[in-house]
Amino acid sequence: MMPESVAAGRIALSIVVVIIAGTIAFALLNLKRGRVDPAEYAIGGRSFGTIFLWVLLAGEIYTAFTFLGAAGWIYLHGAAAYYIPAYGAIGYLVGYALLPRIRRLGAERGLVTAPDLLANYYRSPRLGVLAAILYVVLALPYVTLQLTGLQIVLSSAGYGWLNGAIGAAVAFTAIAMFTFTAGLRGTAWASLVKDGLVLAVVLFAGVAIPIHFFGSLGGMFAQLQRTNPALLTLRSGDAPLGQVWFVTTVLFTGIGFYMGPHSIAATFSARSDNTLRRNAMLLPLYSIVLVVIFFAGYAALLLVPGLHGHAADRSFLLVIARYYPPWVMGFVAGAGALAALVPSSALILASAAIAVRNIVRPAFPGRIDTRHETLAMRLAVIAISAAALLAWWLARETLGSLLLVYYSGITQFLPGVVGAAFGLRLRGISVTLGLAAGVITAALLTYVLAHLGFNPGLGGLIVNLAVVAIVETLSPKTKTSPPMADSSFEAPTTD
Amino acid sequence: MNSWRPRALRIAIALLPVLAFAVGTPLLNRVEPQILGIPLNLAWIILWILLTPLCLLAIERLRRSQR
Repeated sequence: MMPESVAAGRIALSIVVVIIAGTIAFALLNLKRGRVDPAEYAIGGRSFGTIFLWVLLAGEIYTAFTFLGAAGWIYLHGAAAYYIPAYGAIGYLVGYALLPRIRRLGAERGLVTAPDLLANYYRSPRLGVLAAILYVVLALPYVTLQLTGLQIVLSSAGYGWLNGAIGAAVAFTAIAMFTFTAGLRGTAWASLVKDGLVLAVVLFAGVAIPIHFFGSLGGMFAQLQRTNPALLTLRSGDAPLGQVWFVTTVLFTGIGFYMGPHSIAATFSARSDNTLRRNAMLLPLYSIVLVVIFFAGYAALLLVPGLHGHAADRSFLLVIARYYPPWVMGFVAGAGALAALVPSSALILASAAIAVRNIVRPAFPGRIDTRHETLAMRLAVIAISAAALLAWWLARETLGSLLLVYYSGITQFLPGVVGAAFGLRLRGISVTLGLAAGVITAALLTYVLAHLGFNPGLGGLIVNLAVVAIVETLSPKTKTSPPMADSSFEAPTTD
Repeated sequence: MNSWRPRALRIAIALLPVLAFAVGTPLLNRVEPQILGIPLNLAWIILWILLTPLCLLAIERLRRSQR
């Protein structure tokens, strides 16, 4: 090992450690003292205003994937990566119509988790349990994705001096303990720091780097037209990552944008419907961050050419390592580490609340009362974090493709969630069977028939909707009152 | 029944960005003409990222004026 790289690694990693520790300390100092009930722990007591929601609803969706995956996609696939800001903008439109209705149901009926919503509205504890298991299982690849991002960031900041995997495990353990203590309010404070730092780093990387090396954005694109002209446009027709793939993926991922368990939890944390509507108008600006990342990805392609597969996820960090001093790497890696850790915290927290309220409590009725529910959630945070870490050691994949697997799965919740939000009189059994059929189809299309020219989750959603329609038509007409009875009823998981 | 018209207008405005991103991008899948040095397809994405909040603002104004 060259002594120079050891010195550089020490400088960069010290900055990363200070950033992570400082963010955790800042978030902990801002916490309320006193007893924490489950709703305060998991959804901030339904009290969050515009700023917290902005960082929770956008910042927690654009993660370390924003940093590395989007630049890596540009590097490998060029224009195909434009699907990311495109689906985001469609997601915000859907959110504008959908989220205020979900929040209202949550506040009226005391819902805390996404499966709470389904189980309560469709009066089907069975649906609640199925949804809960699926959510927790699907959350795992998303968290492992963050762990891989963290490992890449830390090993880059270490200049080969630190084992990134061990560093990632240590940082992840720290954030699990932080989540155990802080709950969603702490996560929101940490998210605030994270988004500020990410914004600064992204502007540097996407604007300053192209101007520094190519004179202007135009200069960079002119050079790309000479060296990599095919990357600047989408491939035609139904080629892999071609135009058909683009259209189906943008639409499918856009409508599923807010189906993640942490997004529904963030929706329940909102103070009012108007807070959510105002957010939907402000959130598209976050997509600009992604475009700036694209510039960084293109710059990396010209500056450090020849990377393949997983290595492309490091392209942009290689530029920093090669051309900038270690302290710049420290700030970039610090922002990247937070972009992996803070969304992990939100997702683990949502999964823990789901595991306790929708899996453990129905399995042992009457054993966990409200006083012990917060403690049970804290313990579930530790258990799920440990499971994610274990899953990560066993299986890893390229960042972008893993995100597609996650989205194909969670978007199967769309019929049930939209039905509840818009007061449709669907039966629990049809939503349950549709969900199961949709997830199975999406998984088969993703893993068995890989490299399709269209989005595999969309195939799952079509099967899902067909099953809902068929079961609705076949099931006997009963005289039960519609699920949208105007008097609120107790959540089925409430003792 | 008198509310269907503004509602249809709101839905129509909401469909603009959806069509622009999902259908417009593959149609404008070209590098030339470049806008401020940025290839046409990427410039189109940037334009609609900036226009989407304005569409939502218009929808919100319509919603409020109905109340």
